[in-house]
Amino acid sequence: MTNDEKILKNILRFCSVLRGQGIIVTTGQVLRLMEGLTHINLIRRLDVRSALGALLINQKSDIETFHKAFNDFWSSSFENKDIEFGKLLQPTTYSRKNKILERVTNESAFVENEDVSEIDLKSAHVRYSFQENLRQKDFAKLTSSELKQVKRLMRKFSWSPPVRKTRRKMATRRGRDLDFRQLFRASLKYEGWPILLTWKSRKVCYRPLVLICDVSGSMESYSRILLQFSYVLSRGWKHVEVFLFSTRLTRITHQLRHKDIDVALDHAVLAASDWGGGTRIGGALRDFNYKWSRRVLSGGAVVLIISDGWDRGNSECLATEMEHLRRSCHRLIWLNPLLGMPGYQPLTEGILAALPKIDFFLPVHNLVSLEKLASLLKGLDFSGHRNRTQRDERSMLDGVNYQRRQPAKERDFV
Amino acid sequence: MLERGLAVQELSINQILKGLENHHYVADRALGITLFLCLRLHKPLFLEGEAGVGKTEVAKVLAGLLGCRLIRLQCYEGLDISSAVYEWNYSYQMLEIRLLEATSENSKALGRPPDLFSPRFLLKRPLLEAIDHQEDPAPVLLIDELDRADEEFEAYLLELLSDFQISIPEMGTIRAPNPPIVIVTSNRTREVHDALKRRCLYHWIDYPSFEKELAIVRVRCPSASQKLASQAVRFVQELRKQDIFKVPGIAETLDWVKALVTLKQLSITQDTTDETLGLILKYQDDMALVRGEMVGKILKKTSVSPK
Repeated sequence: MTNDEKILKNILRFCSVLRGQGIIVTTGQVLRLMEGLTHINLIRRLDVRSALGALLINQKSDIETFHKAFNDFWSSSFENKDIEFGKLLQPTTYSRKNKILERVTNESAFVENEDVSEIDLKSAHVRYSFQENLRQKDFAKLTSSELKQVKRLMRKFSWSPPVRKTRRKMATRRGRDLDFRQLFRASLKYEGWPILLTWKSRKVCYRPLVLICDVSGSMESYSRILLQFSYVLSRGWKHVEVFLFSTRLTRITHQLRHKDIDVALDHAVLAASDWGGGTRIGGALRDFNYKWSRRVLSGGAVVLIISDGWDRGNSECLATEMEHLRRSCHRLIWLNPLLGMPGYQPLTEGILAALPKIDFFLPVHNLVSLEKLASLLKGLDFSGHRNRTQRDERSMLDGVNYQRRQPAKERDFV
Repeated sequence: MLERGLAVQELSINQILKGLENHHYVADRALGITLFLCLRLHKPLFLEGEAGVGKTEVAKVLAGLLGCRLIRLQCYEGLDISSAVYEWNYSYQMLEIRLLEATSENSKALGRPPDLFSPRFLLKRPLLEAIDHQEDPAPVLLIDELDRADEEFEAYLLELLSDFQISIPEMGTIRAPNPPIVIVTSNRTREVHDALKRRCLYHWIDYPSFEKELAIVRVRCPSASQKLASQAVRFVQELRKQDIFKVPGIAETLDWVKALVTLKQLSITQDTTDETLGLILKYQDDMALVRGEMVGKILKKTSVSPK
């Protein structure tokens, strides 16, 4: 084999290694790589590395993986390539069997509630009232068969995300501004007299949604179901980011993208290695604000925090971070499963500190509460001003049929 | 500037690096190689990095180096064709119709319809200017902060960057005889679509090391003394390791050094730092955290006696 062919073969093998490590390398990129390398002096190793990096990497998160793979592949033990090659080619799998995973998949928390008597579902009347009861029943009290039903019902929900007006205009029949381009073209029919008026108005798009879910020990009976809920949301809408936290914050949006719900949830649970640990809401929110808020909150996002508020961390820190978060997003909604319990009062320090910063403080303990949440999200008004529109939004929470009025003057939009 | 007779295509890596140096831009070899590949392969460059590390500067310096024009397109949400590519001069067109009528040169007399969609009625915006240019060498097109534009614009840009042609329905397709050199920057407030990134060569600009940042300061603020420059850079390097919300970039360091020079400071003291902290930190929470005690601690650590 000539030198050129050897080099070509090694470069192609390197591309396969990168693919195994999770970096996407398309054929087009490989072809471009070949063309690019003809201009580079291949003896200089760093030059080759920079060139390969420029042509094969697409995002910052791949840079370290690439450098490691490059150093491993082109190291001095070049002859032992075949031995290491197989190992390098294997994609990273979640091969570790985790106690947490077993515990959560067995849903042992629900086994204790096992109901002895079976319900006869043949008659429609019984079926309807069974479903009604199921919708009202608290998630923590479900038996494992009821859990399956609830999951099925949840998947059938139709969620309609909140919308906002963008700055992009599109042609409409009636609008605020004249569309001059179309106006002129229409006027040509009438010898240049602008008789037909054509309009444009602002396009409407969906707001991004950010879910920050507490998966600490105190939320154990709700965590799995709420994770399912976040999966359903992320499949339905376009821009949904999901984060889990107990002592640390973990982003699981990528894991939830899997088509199979069970695989997706398993991956998500494994990614959050501190599942069932203590709660540090303030620290997790600080992490979110510092690392992620600038990247995911653009476009007027709605943030949903799901937690029971039992916090072991610093409540001052929680208050500052909540304030920061509040200023960066369109609406901040706190969902507390304990609100469903009759007689519950939010008295913990953490929740009390955070309450003034929240726009909506809602229960999330059963399917009915989820339905109410869905209708609230659908009806979130266009405009950004919290003071002006909160009155109208609060009226929706009483279950009153909300008639959508004309939105207020189209001024600043978040 | 390019030496006479040397085409853009024939520039070597070392010549590019030398050119960057001559234009007061301190770059590492990786960036030089990436620029070299861009020029040779006619591919756009996608620059990512934190705010204030010099992404926009690269385009300006490259334009200076190649001796060509810089066309800048600043992206924002809702950027559409009429602001980015072209627009018809409607008022001029309507006037033309009235004029033709007034001078009774109507279409019957002329024998053909009046030509209302000709280049003289076309208002060229940045993207069309970059494509429909008559210059040599081709201009540098800087598409700044693409993450602020929305997905519709990205889709349009995708098509543009692969074929370098723009189709105007009334006039036809305009192709670039000499495709421009495209540099796209992003601040990562939103993930730019993969398809677009894959069309480009990628480069991430990170916060610089101490030596690199010192070199940048010395090149950009020659009036600062060696002592002041190294103290300032050491301070900012240490500050970047702290847990603050918005880490200062190179632009902030340069602003601070220029301010210190203006204030005729020969070295850094606790008081001046506290007073000029607003040049480095832009968030109230960060300033409250750093001012006073932490400044003293950092100054002590970087072995400058706090006064």
